[in-house]
Amino acid sequence: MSFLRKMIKTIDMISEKAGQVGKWFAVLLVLIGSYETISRHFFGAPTIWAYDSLCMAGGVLYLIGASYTYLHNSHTRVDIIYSQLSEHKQALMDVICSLILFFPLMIVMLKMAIEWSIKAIKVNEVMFNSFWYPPATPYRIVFALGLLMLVLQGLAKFIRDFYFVIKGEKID
Amino acid sequence: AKDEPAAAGGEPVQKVEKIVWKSSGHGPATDPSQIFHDKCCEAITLASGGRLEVKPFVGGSIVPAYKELDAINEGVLQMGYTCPMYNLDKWPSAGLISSRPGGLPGEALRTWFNYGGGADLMNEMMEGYNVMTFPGALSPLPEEVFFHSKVKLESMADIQGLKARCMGDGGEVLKRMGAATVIIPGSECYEAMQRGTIDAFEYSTLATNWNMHFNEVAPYLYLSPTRAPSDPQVFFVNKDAFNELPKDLQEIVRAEIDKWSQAQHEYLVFESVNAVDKFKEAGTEVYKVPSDIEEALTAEAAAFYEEKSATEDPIFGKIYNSMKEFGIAYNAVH
Amino acid sequence: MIDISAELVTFLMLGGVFALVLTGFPIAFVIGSVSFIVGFLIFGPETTFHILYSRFYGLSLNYPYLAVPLFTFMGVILQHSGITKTLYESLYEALGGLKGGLAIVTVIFGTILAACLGVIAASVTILTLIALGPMIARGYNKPLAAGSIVAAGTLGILIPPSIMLVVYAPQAGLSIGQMFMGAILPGLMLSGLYIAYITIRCRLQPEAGPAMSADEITPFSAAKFVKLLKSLLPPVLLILAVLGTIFSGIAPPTEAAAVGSLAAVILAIIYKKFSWGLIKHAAIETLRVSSFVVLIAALCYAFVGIFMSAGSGEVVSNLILSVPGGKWASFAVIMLIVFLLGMFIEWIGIVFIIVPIFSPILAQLGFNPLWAGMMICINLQMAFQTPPMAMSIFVLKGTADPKLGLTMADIIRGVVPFVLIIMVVLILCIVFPGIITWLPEKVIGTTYH
Ligand code: NA
Ligand code: NA
Repeated sequence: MSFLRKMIKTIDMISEKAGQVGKWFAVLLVLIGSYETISRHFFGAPTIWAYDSLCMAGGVLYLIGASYTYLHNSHTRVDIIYSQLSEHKQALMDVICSLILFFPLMIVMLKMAIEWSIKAIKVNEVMFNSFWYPPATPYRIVFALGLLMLVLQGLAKFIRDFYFVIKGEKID
Repeated sequence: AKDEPAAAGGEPVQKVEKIVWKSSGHGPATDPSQIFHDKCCEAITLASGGRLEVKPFVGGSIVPAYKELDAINEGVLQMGYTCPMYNLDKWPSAGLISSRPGGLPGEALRTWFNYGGGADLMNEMMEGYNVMTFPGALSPLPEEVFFHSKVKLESMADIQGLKARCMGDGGEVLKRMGAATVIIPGSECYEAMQRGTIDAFEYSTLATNWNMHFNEVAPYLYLSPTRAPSDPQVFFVNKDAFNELPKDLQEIVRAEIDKWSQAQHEYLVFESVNAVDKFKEAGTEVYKVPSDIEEALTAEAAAFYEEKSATEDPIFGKIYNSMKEFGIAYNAVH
Repeated sequence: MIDISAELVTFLMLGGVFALVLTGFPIAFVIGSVSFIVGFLIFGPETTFHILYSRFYGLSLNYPYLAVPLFTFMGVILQHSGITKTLYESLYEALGGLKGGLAIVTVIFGTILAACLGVIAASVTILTLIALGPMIARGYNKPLAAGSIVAAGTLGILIPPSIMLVVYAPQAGLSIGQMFMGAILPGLMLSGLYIAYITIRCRLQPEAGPAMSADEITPFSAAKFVKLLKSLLPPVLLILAVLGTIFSGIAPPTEAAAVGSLAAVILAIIYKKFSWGLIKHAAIETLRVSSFVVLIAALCYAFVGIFMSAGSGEVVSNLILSVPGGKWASFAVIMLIVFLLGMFIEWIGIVFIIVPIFSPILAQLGFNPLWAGMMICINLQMAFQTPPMAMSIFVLKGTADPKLGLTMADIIRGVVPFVLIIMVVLILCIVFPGIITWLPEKVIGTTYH
């Protein structure tokens, strides 16, 4: 068990760190958006990079935040029935739902994200929302990383719930 | 088609296998390109006697708008009608056969595509992808409005520092010419003009722009065939899906695409002609772009594309030079 | 791949989401997985994977939705800088002497907060923390106290800036600025009617909202007036920073949200409430909120891709258009569906699933898209207060000090009259569409493009 315990602790730590790093992209959004506004309106000097940079910073924030948000159980649930269940039944429900509603979808998304990252490297994919044409590969990779961390966090949660369902006690 | 055992009446009944394609425009539903795309799909279904049913979808309903080609490549869609430009992410030269400064205007562009090797070059550009096009599949749009503007453009001096919303290579070329180009979504143009975020902008063809009520926010309308002589749209088809079709259905697909892409072009030219009158009636002052601006733009665009030809893959230079040479030959005749 | 009718697909997808969200599993994954499973069955793996991934990826880079993290950041800064508390105290001193005065103060305070904040939780949290205690301490009827907090707090999602409008507008092809303008009058009308209801109720039933006793009320003085004005300054500055930036043409809404965030930080510095901890807290809250919002949005967007590819859009549209009784009957059905969905599902899921389906139908029926969109948004605003899935009620219950003894039954009873008022406003907007369209037309011009 100590290996499992260590593993889920490590995953938790990764998600927590990801959130703490990812949060600075929120500050970056404020800075870029304000800079573009001030530069354009008061100095007549719009940038060509703000638009794409904003989009990417936002994307990084959401994706890097996905596992942090899962770690802190902040993804919205409709808990009309769920909240009435005992802790044990909640864990059982989450175990079943994870197997059907989380892992198949998210593992496929992760697989696709990896394939498209490789594709992006091969064709030197760029973004063309503006004529700045920044490379798309770094973002494609962060997107895949975000999904990887989310899948890992899902795994950690699954192990916790499963252990609790089987043994009737918390793993940690 | 498979032979089935004779039916009770005696006559052998041919059971025809029905093929279903999904095809997407790039939307929105009211856009002429989407309307003509839908008409083309219906026409193929009808002309094939229902053997090939092409289900039309509005852009953005299956895959995100402008991502149609990736979906055709993956076989998610079998056909699509979109701007080559939206594939700049993987093919830098796709921007050449698109809305761009110094490009070929409508009739010349279609002629180049159908007879001057354009369709072949585009297929070469897409090599390695499960996607094809063919002559007749390109529909040039009438030249885009140069600018809707609040500022009167009298010489190059007026371009300096002009807060203009422009996208694509045209935006980059204008920036090199000294404009302060602003990047905002097309849906924000109206309000951005009204509130002074921008002084001028390009959006789409005259007819579309009239429907957007841009006369209410821009007293001046500038026309010129230099910034975006055409913003072509092209039908793309999944190679495997096309090759699996019986010969007669292939012919139907080619013929209907040819018919409807040409029809859209004529329709839009007609609409644009009407739209100019509507703008004038509504009090918009319509002008030709001063020649020094046109000349500066043409020169800057040429410099820009020559530079790019030197650094991009060889196919870029091939397409650029083919278009340039055809343009020179075309202008010598006209 | 199996061949099943579009009708059955429609039923499986909508029914599947409806049934499976009740498991209590995070709804983002439920919605994504329903599309995954149904898509897998009818289109096979490759097509389904491509649709889901390309839509998820595409939405993650969406420009207009950047207003979600930016308005969240601004809201958290304001919420935790304590600037708003002074405003409440000033209002309290000015109006506490009226019957039902504290509930009226709650609504006014909520309306001003609504113009500063765009995320629902922020308004309701602030109101609960600041306004609930004093009302209950003074013997207010608990349902009335709770209802006024829920109703006034929920205005935050309607009166601009508003994440709901930011999410709705691009879905329906409308400009965010127009939606913002269109929401102002209905929002103020709701606020006015809430105050009217509280006033009348407390006149008829003074024990529901007792006035402060005579010895507590200090006479209204110039000093009090100055204090009120001073406390109004930060919110007014913030409103000017955001709405002013948008409507004076300095920047489009997304960038205005960035400017608003910067302004909130500057205000915190000026009022000596600034700390790095505040920035860190705002940043991590922004990450948390926008991550779950956008994950739901992205997977709903994926859902819609499968739904439309399967031809289910047409099924729903035919169903609604075939309702006997003409366009108003179809409209009533749409509003009813939104209301019923709103009782059970989170608003983001609803916006992302229904807007692509309903917008073309509404256009086909000939309704002004801005008006129709605003009607749906007012309706969705009501969904925040209709149990069982009622975000505002959850936030109030979750934030309220347990010592105050507020029960779920109190809250639900208190919310009913306010929900009825929202319905009245919806009817008024049908009779007088100008409530929605007049201001945008006045300020922006035409509203039909
Ligand atoms: Na608000
Ligand atoms: Na509800």
